[in-house]
Amino acid sequence: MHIVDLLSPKALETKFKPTKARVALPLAQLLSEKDTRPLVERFLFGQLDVFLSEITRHRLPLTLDAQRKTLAKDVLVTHAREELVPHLFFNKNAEGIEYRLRLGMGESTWSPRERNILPLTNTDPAWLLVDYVLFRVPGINGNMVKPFRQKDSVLIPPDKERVYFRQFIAKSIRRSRVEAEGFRVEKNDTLRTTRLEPVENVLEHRWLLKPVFEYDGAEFGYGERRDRITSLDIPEDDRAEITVHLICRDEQTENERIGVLKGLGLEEDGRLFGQPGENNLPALLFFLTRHRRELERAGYTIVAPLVDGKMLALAACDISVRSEAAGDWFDVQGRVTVGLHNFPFQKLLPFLRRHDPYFPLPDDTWFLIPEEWFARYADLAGAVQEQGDTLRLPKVLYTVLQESLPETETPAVPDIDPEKIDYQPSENLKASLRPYQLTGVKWLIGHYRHGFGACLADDMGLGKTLQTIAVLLYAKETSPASEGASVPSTAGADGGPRLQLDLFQEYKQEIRPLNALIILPASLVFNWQRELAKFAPSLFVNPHVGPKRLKDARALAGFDVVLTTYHTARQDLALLEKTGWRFIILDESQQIKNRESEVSKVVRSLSAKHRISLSGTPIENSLADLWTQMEFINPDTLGAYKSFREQFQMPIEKHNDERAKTRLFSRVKPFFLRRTKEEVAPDLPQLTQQIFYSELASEQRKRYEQVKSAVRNEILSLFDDPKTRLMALQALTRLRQLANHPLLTDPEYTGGSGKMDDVLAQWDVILRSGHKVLFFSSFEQHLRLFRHRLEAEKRSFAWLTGEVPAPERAREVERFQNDASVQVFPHDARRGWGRAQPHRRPPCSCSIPGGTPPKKTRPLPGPTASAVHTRSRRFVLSPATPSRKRFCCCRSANAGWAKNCSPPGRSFRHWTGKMWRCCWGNLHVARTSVRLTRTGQEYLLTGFTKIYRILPLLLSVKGDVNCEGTERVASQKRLRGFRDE
Amino acid sequence: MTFQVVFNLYPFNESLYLPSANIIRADADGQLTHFVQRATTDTIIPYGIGLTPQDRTTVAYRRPAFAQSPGNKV
Repeated sequence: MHIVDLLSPKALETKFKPTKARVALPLAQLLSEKDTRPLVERFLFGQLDVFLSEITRHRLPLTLDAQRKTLAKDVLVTHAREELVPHLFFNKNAEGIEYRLRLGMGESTWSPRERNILPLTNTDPAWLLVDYVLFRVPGINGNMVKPFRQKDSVLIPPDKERVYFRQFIAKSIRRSRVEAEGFRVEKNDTLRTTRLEPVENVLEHRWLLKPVFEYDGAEFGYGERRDRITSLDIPEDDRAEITVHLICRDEQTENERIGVLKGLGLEEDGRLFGQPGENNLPALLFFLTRHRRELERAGYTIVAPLVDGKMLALAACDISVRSEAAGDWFDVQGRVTVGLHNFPFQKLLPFLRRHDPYFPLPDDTWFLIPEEWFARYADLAGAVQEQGDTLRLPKVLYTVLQESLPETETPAVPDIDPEKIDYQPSENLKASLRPYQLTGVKWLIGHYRHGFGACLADDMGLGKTLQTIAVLLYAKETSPASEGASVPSTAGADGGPRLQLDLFQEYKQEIRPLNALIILPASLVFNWQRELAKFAPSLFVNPHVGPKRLKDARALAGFDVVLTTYHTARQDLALLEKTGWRFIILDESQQIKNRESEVSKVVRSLSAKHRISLSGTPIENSLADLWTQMEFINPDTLGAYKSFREQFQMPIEKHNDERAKTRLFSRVKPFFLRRTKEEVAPDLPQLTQQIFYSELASEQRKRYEQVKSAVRNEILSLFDDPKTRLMALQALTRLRQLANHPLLTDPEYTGGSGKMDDVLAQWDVILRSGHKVLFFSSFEQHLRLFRHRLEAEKRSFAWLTGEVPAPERAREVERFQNDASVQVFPHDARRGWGRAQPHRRPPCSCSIPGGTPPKKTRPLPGPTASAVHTRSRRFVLSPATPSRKRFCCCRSANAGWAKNCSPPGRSFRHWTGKMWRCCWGNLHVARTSVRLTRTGQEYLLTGFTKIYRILPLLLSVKGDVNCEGTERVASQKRLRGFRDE
Repeated sequence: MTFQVVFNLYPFNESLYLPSANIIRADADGQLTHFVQRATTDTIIPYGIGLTPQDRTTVAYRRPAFAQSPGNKV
């Protein structure tokens, strides 16, 4: 819109060139011809109005008729601050009507003749240059001013007065101040009503209220300057009198009504009113509905807002939803009232589900569903199932009901609070539960009592297995069918049920087995079997694995607990389906995370009354894992996967939707219990770590300094030689050996060793207290020094170094674990230590960091480093917590493993997932290892559980491992042998 | 010495004033002095005059917008 160019004569001539003419007509001709003049003037003055409006709005410099030789400042136009208001005066007398025009601002007026006036446009509003000041004059056009540039008044003869009034005056009179004499004047100042219109500020997305004062025949907006409107009634009959209608504003009444708005808390925003803070449509509607009566009493007429062509209803609304418990369901009923309309809650469900706020009412208006209702009932609407006229909510979704309904409307919801569960561990549970484990068991029992599934997601090592066994015992002993039944105290040697029947007593009651199916990775079968035998010997357990497993469903139904693997469950689906399971328990339940996998489908298809899943990592990759877990423990809690994906997964994963997160959390929270080690740390034994700094013996120090000085001098003399680095490393090793014991470097040494003396002194104290001690050192020769001492003292000890054959290593580990007389286990850190079970772990471990300095803290050679190195010779005694021990053992265990198992030239750190799977897939260790390989260092820690469990097997294997086929069976046998013992 | 775009209303005839845009020289006090040249987007460049959005709406361009469309033909 380049107005100046558009308004150049040449441009105008081109624009209005006749279609068939070869040459454009001059502008003067266009303006003189009656055909073209209206068109050209309409365009020209329209653009000029825009031009002048822009110039005025932005105060751009403007000159009038500036010539090349004139100074621009002499012809500069000033912009007026206000608009001019036209005043029209009519005086009817015998000669006709005398018509005068005066212009002014406020009360002062003047005649156009008194000033130098130049009309710039002939459209309304007029633009006038008055003594080089540019004015905008709404209500008149420029032509109306022209007659008054030479004279004060115009006399309209009686025969032309009606034509004149109709053509020139009638249009302008409404926007001008008019005074009339000799006319019949009808004055009206009655404020009929005040219209209150909701209007939207589109740019700021705000809804405000616009008060409009309605008088008979005229209306004024709030803040409008006009105080009156004049109109003429010119009858067709020439003899009839012209009447002037004067509508004056009633300022007092208007102010009173505005005062009502302010009294209701609305704030003035220009000519509109809005609520402080809240300016959305629902909030405004709520305000209008709430104060409707007060506003109407004050003289307001509220206009219903029109949104997207929908006339919204302004009526009070109410909703009432109740529910009643009915078996495994809650029956939900509700009514909605909007003004005079009343309808069931059920009709609102589709709108709540798709978040559509416009609900059609029978009177063709639309009810805007309050946002608060969506927040409260949308989740309930998505969860309830419509069955005829009733709405049903599964019992597992009781949290949805709790959040949607006030407590008074909520039926008795299941109480699964562990604090309120009355439970005492059974005598048949041969273990003492730690406080957090007791809480976990109560939590599981709470779910068991209400028929809910549960996922115990404690950190590994916190005893998920023990807690589950305690629940199984509770279920067995509280089962009505087994009341009064004699429960054999031990399982049969073959693992089958063995009843102790009294030959002289009639067997009256049927003993009902627990019928719990535990599906778990193959590597854990023997662990579970052993722990069940140890902690719950009263339960009859059958490992349903291997080629010789039972194929008869009735036989399986006779056991309390059946252990099987995911793989076997998939193979024996038909068999397992025939057995009526009371419990299905998944260990490492993340195995079913892929909902499309065969294993996942099979496991979810098995029916059972109670379901428990155990996993330290129930969600590994995405929320889809959570859906699968929930679908197993409490089917249909999260709906079908497609619906779950739309409602939760996509909003959360793609848009980080907090509302969806809250809703999902609310649904799954009651069924997941996760405690981390940090959370339960107060319940775990205290970690005690003592660090002893040993001083070098005098002879030892002398040799140490000699070697250090010699190495330093040699390195300095060959500073730039690439061999220096290798030399430094060799020197470091030599210094480490010297710090441990000079005998490691010189067999002829006869002096003492500070570290050796200190270790032996602490060692004696620990041994006398009955504890067991693990010794780690990376120098086998160093361990031999201790061995000589042990043999001299005739102490029993276990021994694990590189010289011990692989099959012997597992036996050494077992000896240390099981033989009370074996209190000491000198152990080559590079060979790997078979991690014991937490309850079988030795209470003390000794490591000699000076012998195996961590790479990251290894001191550099040199004057300063030597001091550091000396201080690093320390002796650590750490009665370890499970976590501490695990961490300590991890490094050495993997080191040994890597040496035995990794392909030549490749460290285990560089193993690919495929390599892990190849070696350990059938032992179900590969998945964990693969997962951890992707995250680098973490796999050393997280995967250690697995590493530990198969370590005895690892120690017995040399070279590359292939566990496929028969080798797998052989491996399992070896492992089982280890565990059984 | 600075230059400024100043709009002008010149009489096409006794009842019609049309706008134009000129480059006007300003003196040391910032007072507008004499006409220098007609202002277009091309001619203002040598004078170091930056166009404001308002100027762009109103000032002349070398190629008028209406030339691109036939507009209202009589």
